[in-house]
Amino acid sequence: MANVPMMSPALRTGLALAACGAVALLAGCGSSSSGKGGKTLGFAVVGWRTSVYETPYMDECPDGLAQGNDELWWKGVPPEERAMLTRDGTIEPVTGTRRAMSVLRGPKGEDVCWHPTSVKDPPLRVVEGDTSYGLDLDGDATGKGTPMSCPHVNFKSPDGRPGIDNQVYRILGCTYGWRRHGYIEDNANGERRDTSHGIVLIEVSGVDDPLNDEQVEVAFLKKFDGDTLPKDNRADVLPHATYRADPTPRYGGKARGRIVNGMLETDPIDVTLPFYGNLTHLPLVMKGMRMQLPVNKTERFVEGQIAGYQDLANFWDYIQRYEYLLVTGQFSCPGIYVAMKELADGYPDPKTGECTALSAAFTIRTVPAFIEHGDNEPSGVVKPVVTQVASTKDVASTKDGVKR
Amino acid sequence: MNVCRRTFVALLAVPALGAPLLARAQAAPPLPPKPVGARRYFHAEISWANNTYYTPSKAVGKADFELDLDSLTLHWVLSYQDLSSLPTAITLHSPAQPGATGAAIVDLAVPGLASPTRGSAKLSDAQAEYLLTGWSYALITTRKYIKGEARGQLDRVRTKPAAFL
Repeated sequence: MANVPMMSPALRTGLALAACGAVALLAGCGSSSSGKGGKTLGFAVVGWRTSVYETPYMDECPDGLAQGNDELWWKGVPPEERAMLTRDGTIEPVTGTRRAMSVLRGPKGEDVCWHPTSVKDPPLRVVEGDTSYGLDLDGDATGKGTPMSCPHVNFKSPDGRPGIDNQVYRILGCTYGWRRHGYIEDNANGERRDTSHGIVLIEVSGVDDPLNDEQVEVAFLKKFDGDTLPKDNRADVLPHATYRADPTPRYGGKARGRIVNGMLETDPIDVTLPFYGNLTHLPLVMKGMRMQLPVNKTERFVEGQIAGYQDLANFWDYIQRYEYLLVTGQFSCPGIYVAMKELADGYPDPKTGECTALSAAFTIRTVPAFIEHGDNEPSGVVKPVVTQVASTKDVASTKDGVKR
Repeated sequence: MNVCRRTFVALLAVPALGAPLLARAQAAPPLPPKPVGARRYFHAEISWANNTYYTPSKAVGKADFELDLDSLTLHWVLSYQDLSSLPTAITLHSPAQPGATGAAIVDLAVPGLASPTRGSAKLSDAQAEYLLTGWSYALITTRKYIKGEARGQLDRVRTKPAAFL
């Protein structure tokens, strides 16, 4: 192996991938026969981004990007006082002391992420463009609303399909942290890759033809956190690894689906998916969730789309837990809180008529994977510690009578 | 050729194509094409009260900017009043949100220039991005206030300012 260090990184990576490919070919290339008829395909979701449609000059945000918490705090403090508080501005927004000061800007020093109605901020700058990623979730392109949705302005898709519902994009699309190069999504994806936490597994069973199959079953599962995502020397996740499904009933669900011209499409289901990113574990509560994923691609990474309605309380939980990213993400909780209430568009409360969910779309990045179902212990189960005490009989039965 | 075999052949081809073709961590979706002939506009309300340090001055001003995105040329018209002296520098700074400090990237006027001042300068891609993101500010420096007597953040505006009509 003395020559190995002389190989270029590209060649070493290539050989590793070729070896992996050979193994994958022998093992069935991320698919296996289910024994119930048809093959089973497996995928690990190694990337997850809030779908944000951006134009080159940010024209979807004609007033500019949303004002962050620090800016709103700064503008509300008299110049002499803030100069003193920030030592003439040398305590920069990202500094811990200033972050703490700026978030406690309620009239009685309330934390505005936990008391978002304690202040009245300027309206959040939301997306005003007409184009978005996502799906027509309520089957209504007029925007008038249906029994399952409240009136709202629809988008069209980048390829011109009308009726696209994506109110999470409308709320977060003009906020720096969720846009390209923004800290929030880039860092969350890096953390998922590095920790192997919060990974969704997708198992497609009953596949007779990966190009066209009118009925397949799709299971959304949580990867056992203890199974590490294998990576190459560039820290990219390798395909064709085997992962154990976490049997915890808290996460996952099954949907019926079909494959049309290589694109897997699922029927809507209510599901809770695992989510991890930016040091935050959070169940992602989705209603009427659908997925589109190409399943006949040969690329190492294949991107698809998950769309559905995110429970409003769950979305707010997500924002609150990201409070420590107010500066790097350049967002403000009260503005998002008000916009979220105003723009909720799914699942009207039968009593009040107010919508309880936000239409959303996420871009997922998958690699082919093998999924193992065993008698794994569900995560989060704390087992009592049992101290084993040897009986007299055990001791007597040892060869020399000495307990070891 | 079935899916598995195609995957295998594709994987074998990787060394020949080179590592740069390997996909990295999930990136944002590609941007649509840039529109031709695009111009975007910005306005800054300049005031002593916007400085990060306390400035007991009465200086105020305003500035309008036009960014030609084909050539990345920035045009401006800037005026000021009630400075403690003629300006020693008028500069554009990035990247910084309101309440933060950025580096000077463009001289907006020669020292001592009377109000109003007009000019233009070519920006880099990154500097233009700072403008669009809202991370740029104009700063007027005088003899008495060497760190700046008045400052104004560039806010994007929807319509073409009268100064450029």
